[in-house]
Amino acid sequence: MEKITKINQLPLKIFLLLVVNDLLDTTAQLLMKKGVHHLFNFANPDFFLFWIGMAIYLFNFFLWMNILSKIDLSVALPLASSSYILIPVAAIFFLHEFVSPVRWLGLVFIVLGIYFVSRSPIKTFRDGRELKAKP
Amino acid sequence: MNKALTLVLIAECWMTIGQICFKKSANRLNTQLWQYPTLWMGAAAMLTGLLFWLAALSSGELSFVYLLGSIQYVFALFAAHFFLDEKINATKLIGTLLITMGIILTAVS
Repeated sequence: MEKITKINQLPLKIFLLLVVNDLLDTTAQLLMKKGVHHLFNFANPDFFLFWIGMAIYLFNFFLWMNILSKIDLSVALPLASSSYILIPVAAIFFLHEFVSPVRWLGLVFIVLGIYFVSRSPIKTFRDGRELKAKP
Repeated sequence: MNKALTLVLIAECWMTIGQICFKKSANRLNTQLWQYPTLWMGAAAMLTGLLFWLAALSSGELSFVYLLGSIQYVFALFAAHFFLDEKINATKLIGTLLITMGIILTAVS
């Protein structure tokens, strides 16, 4: 299968996989944060939350690798960076965290930066050699 | 220095080492992948990074720790330059500078 290199070629299925990847990442981080203080405290209900979060995190890692085998990182990265918005929003709702205006500004810079990083050509090495296509 | 910040920096160092190892393995994908030691070194580095990440999560707010985690983009830029011979171009540099500014803003927030 030809690897997808442009965002307008992105099939709906892979787009949905990326959305699922973002949502799972958010869920995993939330659950791990909630249960991290009760890692080995079997009596506490948050104990289960932590290990569910951990399982989702590991599953999500393989999902991400699978997505990257189908599409270019430059296509996946801008969409994946939406978790930088989802996580603070989730932290406000579920963990009652306060996100200050300065932190929101930091977030905007980070997402903008990720967009720029993903826009850059990735096909050349330091000595000008071209990246060879995989067999 | 802030404890959560320190832990995120350590975690992301390990994660970057893991990424470099994975990329080195993926760059020679013609025989069986599991035979490459870099793949296993990468997995070990990732797991070590995950432990420090959990320590960071337990000592700071999620919205703080997660945003700081984007320092990995900055680490990866330099690591890829030195260990994978990838070229740093203007767009990448602007992107990483923007991310760095975002991290500084988050760190003082």
